[in-house]
Amino acid sequence: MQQVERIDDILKRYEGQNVYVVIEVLSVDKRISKPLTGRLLGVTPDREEARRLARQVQFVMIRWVGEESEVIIVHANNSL
Amino acid sequence: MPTIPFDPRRRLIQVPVIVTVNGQRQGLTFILDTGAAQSGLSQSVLTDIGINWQSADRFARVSTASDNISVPIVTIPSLEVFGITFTNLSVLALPFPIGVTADGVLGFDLLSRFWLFINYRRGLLVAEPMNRFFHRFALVWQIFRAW
Repeated sequence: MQQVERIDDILKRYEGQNVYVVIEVLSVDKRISKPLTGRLLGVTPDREEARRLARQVQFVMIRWVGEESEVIIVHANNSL
Repeated sequence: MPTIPFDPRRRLIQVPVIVTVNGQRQGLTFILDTGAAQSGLSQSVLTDIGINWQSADRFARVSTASDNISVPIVTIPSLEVFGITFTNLSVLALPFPIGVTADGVLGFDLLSRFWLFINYRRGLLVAEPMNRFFHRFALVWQIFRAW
C-alpha cells in the first residue's frame, strides 16, 4: 500500500515522463474543489491501463504528465 | 471565498473540477476559456468516468482554431467547481488531442454564474457565486488582497 502524499508532490515526481499518473484522492479543499492529498495507484503510458486502475477506488484522479499540446479554442454555434 | 492560484507563465488558467458519475468521483482539471460558449469535457475523460458519449442524440457545431466540427452533447450528473455543485449539466464531448494537460474547458455557461477577478501578474483567480449577494463585500476584500 502506497503512503499518503500531497498530490502536487506525486505529480511533480513524474513530470515530463509522458505517462498517466493514477491517484486515489483522500482529501479535498472544499472551497475550490481541489484534491489535496492522495495515494498513488499506478503510473502507466497506457490510457486503458490507467482507466482500469481508476476503477478500483471511489475518488480518483488520472493526470497526464508529459509533453503538452497547444490549447484549444472552442466556440459552440448552437446553444444547448 | 475561492481564491485559486495559477501559473501565469503557462499562458492559461487551469482550475480544479470534481465530477461525480455513478458514485465515483474524479478530480479533473479544466482550462478557463472565456472564448468558449459552452463547457466541455475531453472524450477520453468522458469514457474514463463512464459517460457513453458515442450514443449521444444531441449535437452542437463547434469551431476550433483549425476546424468546424459537430460534437456530441452529454449530461453530467454532478460537476463541482469553485466549491459549487451543478447537477444534470449539459456539456460538449470534445475531441482533445493527446498531450492537452486539461480534462475540459470551463466556458461561458458556467463562468457566467460567478463573479470573477483575475490577476494575471500575480497568478490569482478569485471566484464567487453570483447569487451570494452578501458575499460581494468579501469579494471586494479578496480582490483588494489579490491586487
